[in-house]
Amino acid sequence: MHLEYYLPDNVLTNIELAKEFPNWDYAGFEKKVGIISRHIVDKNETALDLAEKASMKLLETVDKSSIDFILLCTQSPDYFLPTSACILQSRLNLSKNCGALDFNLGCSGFVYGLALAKSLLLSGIASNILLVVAETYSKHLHPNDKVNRVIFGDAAAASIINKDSFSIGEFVLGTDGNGAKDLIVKNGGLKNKNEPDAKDFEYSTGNFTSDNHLYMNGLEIFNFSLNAIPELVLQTAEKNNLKMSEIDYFIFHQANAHMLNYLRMKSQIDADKFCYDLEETGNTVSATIPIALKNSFSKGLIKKGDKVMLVGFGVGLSWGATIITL
Amino acid sequence: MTKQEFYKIFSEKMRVENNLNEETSLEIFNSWDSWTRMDVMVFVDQTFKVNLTANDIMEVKTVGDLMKKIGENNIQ
Repeated sequence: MHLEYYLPDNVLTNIELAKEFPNWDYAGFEKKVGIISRHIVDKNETALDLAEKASMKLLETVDKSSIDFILLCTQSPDYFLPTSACILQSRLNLSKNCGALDFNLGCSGFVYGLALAKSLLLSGIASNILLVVAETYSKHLHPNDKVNRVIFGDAAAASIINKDSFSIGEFVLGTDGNGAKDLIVKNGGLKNKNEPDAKDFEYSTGNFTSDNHLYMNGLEIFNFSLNAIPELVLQTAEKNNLKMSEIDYFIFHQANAHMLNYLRMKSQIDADKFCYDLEETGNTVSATIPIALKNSFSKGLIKKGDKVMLVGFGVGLSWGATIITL
Repeated sequence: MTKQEFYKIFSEKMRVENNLNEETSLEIFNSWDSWTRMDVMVFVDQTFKVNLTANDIMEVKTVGDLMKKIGENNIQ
């Protein structure tokens, strides 16, 4: 499997966060949410830097001259323009005979990336695709937003998708833009410019954000997930002509262990077939699935020939799932 | 489910002493946070097959409010 990931050097532990939020019961949080630490970029480090580093790790064992397309998923681009994937082509010194584009998705990003990559392969447009997901949500968070600062971490993952990589099955994809308001950074785009004097507002007891920062209605996201994801899992199994018992492993987007527990139970998945991999990384948005995939393979939890369902869901609202065969 | 059964289960979810009644305000408890609210949404869905939205749960200020959302027929 040609898949690597990169985590920033800075590690922010719960103990360190507890110094900023002294009333926070971090021991209870660790037990419920399953996150002990997360990696956070430096002030001058961006998602594109992480993308480059993850890709460089990958290129230690891959012939870069064969790459003919770059797909980069991020919601933290260096610039509105140009395309970050174009800059990545230059930084990696890849062939100029290479297509490149960014796509803006969060937690469903890796699954959608696989859908795009598969389409490029099947159409004959490309044969060796560098699929990169890279995210720095830490840069979107208000310093006094405890709820989200304890959940999110930064990371990037890079993979090569070609006819020799894991085989990619059928997809079930979905979108509900009515939920856009539930996970959003309102200012900073072209609709609402960044406000230097944006007012802080309390959105949950003791948690603050502003329109310049990320706002997440955790309860709505939770409710959406509980309603949409079990059905998505069943539909994906059916579309791939598989019974649930024939699927060897399930890797959901690693939002938080609390949600994952309920989703697993509601989807009726055995605990020994269900991936939990967020203790030391937190929720790294589009990178959670490839990181969990890599780690699960490295630990021997999955092996060549296994059928693994990948389920991504979150900001947009957007969701998608597929089954890969290793 | 009886009211007493409900109070017992709910106090366990809230990690508080079971001396709850319908008038008990939830906002006095530190444990009435977003994680507990999620637990309650799942409990209500699984036990009573009632789907509480995020707005529903945010409107809950007392134990009685929650019981009303669940429905009189479900807790007697």
